[in-house]
Amino acid sequence: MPRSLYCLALVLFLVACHQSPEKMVNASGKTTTAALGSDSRKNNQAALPPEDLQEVLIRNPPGLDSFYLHDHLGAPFTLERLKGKWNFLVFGYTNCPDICPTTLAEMDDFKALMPEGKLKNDTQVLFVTLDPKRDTKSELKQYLGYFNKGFLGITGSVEDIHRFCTPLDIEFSYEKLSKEVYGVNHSSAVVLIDPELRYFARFNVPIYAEELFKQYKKIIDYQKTL
Amino acid sequence: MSLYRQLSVAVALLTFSLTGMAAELQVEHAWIREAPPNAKMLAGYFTLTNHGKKDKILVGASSSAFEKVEMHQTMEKNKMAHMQQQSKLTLSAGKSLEFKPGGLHLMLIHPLNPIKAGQSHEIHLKFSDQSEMTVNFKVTKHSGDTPQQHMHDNAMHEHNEMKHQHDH
Repeated sequence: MPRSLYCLALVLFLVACHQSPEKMVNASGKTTTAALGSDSRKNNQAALPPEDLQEVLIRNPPGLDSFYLHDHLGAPFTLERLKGKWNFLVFGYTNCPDICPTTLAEMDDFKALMPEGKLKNDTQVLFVTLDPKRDTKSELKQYLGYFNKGFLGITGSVEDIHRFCTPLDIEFSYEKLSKEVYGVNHSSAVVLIDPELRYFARFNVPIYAEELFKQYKKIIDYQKTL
Repeated sequence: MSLYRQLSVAVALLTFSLTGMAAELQVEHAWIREAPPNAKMLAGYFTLTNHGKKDKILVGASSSAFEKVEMHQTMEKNKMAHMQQQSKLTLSAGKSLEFKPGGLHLMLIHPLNPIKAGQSHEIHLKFSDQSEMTVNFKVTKHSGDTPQQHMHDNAMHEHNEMKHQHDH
């Protein structure tokens, strides 16, 4: 290639590198800004999460849309209350004999593995009821208080709960078991929302506290590189 | 043979056959997970092994500690976990049935009194041949109370596995 053309190509390349910040579009269609230069190296590192996390991390984690629910004390529960915390969402209902109590017991063990301090304070475990009709606020308070006094129950109308769950790939439906009794079929995964309000990771049951804790620490480190 | 002797022989045979039947079925690690005081549904788990030569069919269970006991299997359908009631479970000769979290479990419906860790409750297993087996379920917070308990259960399980292979 003639030397002048080579020089032109080099100049054009250098000019391109100094363009204004590149816009990226994430999974939900929202635009975010990423500066180039040293940050582009950072983004390249972040593009490859540790192999053992790839199964649980959500690719291009989407931001959450706003929602309107209540906690089990009656206070409004919106996006703001997830911000700045790592939020583990357990979905279920208090009449569940098997999966829900098993998962909640493990989540209590999981929290117990954390020493007192910032990590523990910044980790929230929330139980989103998929059966608001039977799971009244006082039922939720008593039920969750047994596992861990810090677990927060989240409730609302069935429609609002569906709206919250759907973007998190959580489905649920009611099934009549007898004339008076119905069961709730539901996705059993535990969802992790990061402090920047992104649907960040998903853990299939069974949950094991120690394994989850190891993954959690790695996830936090990985999230810092983004 | 005198009537008395006939009667004695009959009683001896009956006792022998009953204990023989009980010895064919072995239960290990029967436990109920302690649940919140307002929980209306609890779960019972255990491993049942059939050391006999005939298949046994489990058709139900009951307990004076609960209003009703049903057998259920947690299954995945349409990306959702749901519970499928089981009306009968075949326990083949020489095989085991494992009731464990996330799978088969006894659904213990409406405890009549608070269920607390440390208690033991009897659950009667019913089979299609009209036989019954009473099992003591221990209420615990976790599946293995202490590391020693867990090791003891593992040792028992290995012992039974060896016996199981020998019988086969």
